[in-house]
Amino acid sequence: MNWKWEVLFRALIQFCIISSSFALYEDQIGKFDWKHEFLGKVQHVQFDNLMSVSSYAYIATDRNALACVRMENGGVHKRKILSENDGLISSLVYSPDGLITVTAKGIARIWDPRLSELKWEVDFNEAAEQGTDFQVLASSTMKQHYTQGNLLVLLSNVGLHKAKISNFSPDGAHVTTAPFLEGQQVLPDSTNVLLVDSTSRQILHLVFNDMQKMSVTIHDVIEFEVAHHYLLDVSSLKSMDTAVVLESQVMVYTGPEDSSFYAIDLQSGEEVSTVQLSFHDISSPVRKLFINENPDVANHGTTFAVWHGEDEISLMSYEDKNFENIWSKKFYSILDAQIQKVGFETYLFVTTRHRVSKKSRIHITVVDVKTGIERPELEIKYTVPGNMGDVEKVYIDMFLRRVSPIGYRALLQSTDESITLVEHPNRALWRRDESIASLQDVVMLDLPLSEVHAGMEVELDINSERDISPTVLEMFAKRVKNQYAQLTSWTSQTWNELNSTPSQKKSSSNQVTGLTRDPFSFHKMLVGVSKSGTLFGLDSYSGSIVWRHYHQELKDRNVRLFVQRTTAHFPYPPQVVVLGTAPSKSPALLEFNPITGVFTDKSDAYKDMDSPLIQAFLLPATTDDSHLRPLVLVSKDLGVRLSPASTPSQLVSRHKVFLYDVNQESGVVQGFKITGSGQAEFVWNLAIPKSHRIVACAGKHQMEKIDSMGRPLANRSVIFKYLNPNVGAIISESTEQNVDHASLMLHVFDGVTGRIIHSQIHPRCGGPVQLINSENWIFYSYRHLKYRRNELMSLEFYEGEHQVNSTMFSSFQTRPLPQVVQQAYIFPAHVSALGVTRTERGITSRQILFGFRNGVLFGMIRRFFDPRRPLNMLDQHREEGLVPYMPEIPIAHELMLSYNHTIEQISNIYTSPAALESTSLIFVTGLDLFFTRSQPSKMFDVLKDDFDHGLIAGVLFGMLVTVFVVRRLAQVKKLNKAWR
Amino acid sequence: MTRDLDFKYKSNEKNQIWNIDVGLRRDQKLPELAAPPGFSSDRERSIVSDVKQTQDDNHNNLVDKRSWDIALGPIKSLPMNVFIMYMAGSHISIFPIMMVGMMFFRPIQALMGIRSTMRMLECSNQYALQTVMYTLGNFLSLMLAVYKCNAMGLLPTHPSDWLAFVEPQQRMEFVDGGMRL
Repeated sequence: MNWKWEVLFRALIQFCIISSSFALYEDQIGKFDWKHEFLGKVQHVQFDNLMSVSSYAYIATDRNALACVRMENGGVHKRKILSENDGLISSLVYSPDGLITVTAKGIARIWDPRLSELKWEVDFNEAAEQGTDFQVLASSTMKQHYTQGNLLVLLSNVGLHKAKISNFSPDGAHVTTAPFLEGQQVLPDSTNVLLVDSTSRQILHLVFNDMQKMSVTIHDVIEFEVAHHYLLDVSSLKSMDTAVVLESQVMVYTGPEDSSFYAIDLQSGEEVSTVQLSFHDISSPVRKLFINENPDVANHGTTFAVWHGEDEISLMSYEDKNFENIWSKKFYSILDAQIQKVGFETYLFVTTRHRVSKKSRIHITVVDVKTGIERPELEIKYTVPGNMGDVEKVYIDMFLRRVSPIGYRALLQSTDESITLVEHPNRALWRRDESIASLQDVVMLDLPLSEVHAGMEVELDINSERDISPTVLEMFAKRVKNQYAQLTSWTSQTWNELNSTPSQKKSSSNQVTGLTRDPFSFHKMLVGVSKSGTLFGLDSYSGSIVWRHYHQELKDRNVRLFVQRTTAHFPYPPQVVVLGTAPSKSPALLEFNPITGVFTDKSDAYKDMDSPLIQAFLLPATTDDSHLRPLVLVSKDLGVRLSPASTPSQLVSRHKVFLYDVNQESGVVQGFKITGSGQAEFVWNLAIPKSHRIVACAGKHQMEKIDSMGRPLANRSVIFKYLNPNVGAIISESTEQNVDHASLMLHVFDGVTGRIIHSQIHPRCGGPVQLINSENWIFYSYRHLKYRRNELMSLEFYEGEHQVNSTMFSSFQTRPLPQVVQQAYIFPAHVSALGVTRTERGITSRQILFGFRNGVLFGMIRRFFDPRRPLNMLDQHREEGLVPYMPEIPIAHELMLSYNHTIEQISNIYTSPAALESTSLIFVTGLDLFFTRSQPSKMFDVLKDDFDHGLIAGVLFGMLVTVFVVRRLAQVKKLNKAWR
Repeated sequence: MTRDLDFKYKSNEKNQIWNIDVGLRRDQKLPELAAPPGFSSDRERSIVSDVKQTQDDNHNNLVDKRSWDIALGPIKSLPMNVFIMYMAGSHISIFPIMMVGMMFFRPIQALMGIRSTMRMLECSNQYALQTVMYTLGNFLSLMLAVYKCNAMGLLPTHPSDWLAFVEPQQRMEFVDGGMRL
């Protein structure tokens, strides 16, 4: 047979096998899966209307998302995710030409006002013919006469660039570059200010660093050449906060310890005027000088605001070389002050923070800049909700009104990365919790039993605890009492439901009380902790937030969640611990009930831990009767602490507990023995060659359920799996840049003894690596650098035909090294996360879950990654159900669990078993959240959705009728026969 | 036939011409008739005894034969059964399973009812041997059924058949760890 035909035939078989198993019916879409879109931490905000009320806000975030958000409800109208390779969005400008974004790598784009299309794009980096180290420092737009078209001016680390943006033809986007002059290097820690002046048609570039000199460069727009360049001696200036450039290119600056204002004409570089601050009743040090934030100097006017002292703001004007104090006002605890100018109206918005009986309150005071009159009828007094953190940044959307001259809305960004739109007088229109986009760790918990079931549990529990079995009468009385309680609770529930209006119903469904376990335990509580230190409790049915808690202590720490007690131990409440570690701080530890979100801070007990934590894990044993698994904290000086602190240390010594610590920095894996003495003993160490660095590490899941201990072969013998629960695996990548010398190394070791079970090297391969270690297999993805493709590696470990010890597994027992079977596959997609399904008893075959970089969640049964897949298919292989080996793994669209959704920037895949053996629940985190169910072996324990109940019932009924009719007929016939 | 006629004449002589006495009284015996002329009683006697002899022999042979038939039945049907089993194939589907089931069922049923079969064989001279042969035959077909089951892979004779009962190993040590926090 021609080999092509053979390949085709094999592919056909494979596809037949795949397509018969999965895929979703159209009417199942959204039935048990949901996807929520997020944006990330807000970096830039622009409002879409420059004059009247905005209907959309444009938001650019740290995850490179660009979104058009509806102002009425906070919903995302359109979202664009820019490529990682473009660099972060460094500026966002809304102009009449459209929405202009400039990324850090110099790609400027103009979007249609609703983000529906990209109108224009130009790569400044390419145009400037620079290498990879091109970096945008600042950018702004310059208005010109409409015949000339507006200009986009870009400052990079190589020079100044301009491009005309009004003619949207990409070919016409002519980029002109003016390279820096000799000695005009841009130092890394300098502040760059780029301003344009549309009246004199010049571009001003100010560079300031701590060397008391300011470099001033003025470019002419038309010639695009340097008109003036000089160094300015600014000895008292400490930061650009205390310098402003006014109309006609006059820079006014002062220093924090300085006692005078200096006015400098930037054209000539000469000091024009100096005045003592005290002349203008400014006695306290100046914090900030500010004017309206417009890059065009022509709009700056001649007045500027001075924030001095603690909370005082004065408005100064500089005209004809004279300073004048127009007005001064005192505020209380200023958070932010900004001047907004719309049309001819200029207003000052001062945001102040107040504390009213433990609650933080934000006041936004509006002052007319010209007159200095406060406008109390516009003031916003907003009480910040307790779990929101502090307001960090305020974006004001000011607009003109017919009756009162202006109106405004404020977008508050708080430290928990949420944004809230607030309106006069104190109404919050909407809120977006953007920190969900950066979940660091997630646990999935069963919901507690309903009141009724819990009552039964209690009944049984009391019985089992007592030594004397209760009498029948006692049991009967208890049962009657219990059922009476059930009846009353049911009636009250029904009564409430009947009485409540639909709107109330909706709100009550969100409450914690409604969260009870369903028969198959599909309904879970998803508890996640984000980078900003916010903890979320999400309802797995809808993805809605049940509770949220912001804890400032956890911000910017490495956070992890540990389930100390699940919901299975009624009447003890479930308990989860969140641990936040930072290199030089004592650990933050919070205990909370994952269902209700009630917190207790336990950090104080560990305040004295001056050595940073290296590892934390849950003990396998529980404290006597409360079913609580203590958390073990191991610090760098090998001190061992337990949480809860009252746990007796004998609990540790009763078990043989070991620990391994993978140090990424030093490339050393160390093994320790944890004893009850409060100190970890060093046992072994494993060092990776200096030319490598550890990129991935995976241990086995502690509570993994394994159904089958071996694998039957075609000749009906068994090869037993090497089920060492102590196996750890690390993958290291070479630091070598040269492809031919690069390599990837895998070490599989026993975590107790440090014995290396297996190791192998992949030459010319590198990261990114994703790794799974489960049962008796290891699976990972990596990149072949030479052939520029992604590959998957599957390894299985077997003990052989006989088990060394069939009753117990001890790493100290001498046993031969396991047999290793392995196979590699080519995978035509970039894998950014790997996961594997987990089921209740582990009978269902496992499914490997891939999160692709292009936003697809892909699931494939492990059978296709069975390293025993034969090259030459024999009868015995067919009998075993092996699929012939094909190097390439096809990506079938039926296997995409996310069907047509795109899950942006997938970072992790979490799985959890449902009570139904066939089903595993999958939760994908990243910029978007996606939740779905998967049945790797199809639904073998439950009727399918399309099962024809009507037909079965009809047939059954029909047969029943037939039986009766036939019986009657038979009776009649018998009677007739008897008469004959 | 001859006897009947004799009888008729006899009654005619004794009673009225058209009256035929069919019954005999209790103590009445058939009167000895004079032999017809040319009849040799010796010869008659010898013939009768011969017939009786052969009849007796015939009966015994017949019982033996019948009994052997019964006793060897299972063994005789063995080749047929082997052929049927061969034709059934080793696939596990409804017909082969039914056939194997019948194959099991019949000898077991026969062995259960061996008492009644033994009663049937009782009259035979080679009673013991026949019973042994019968039992042996049934056991042979039972073995054939077992062999067939084995060939079909229905007998748990391989380690893989006991895999489901292998208990998970109990772990003696506990280890945890990972990347440094």
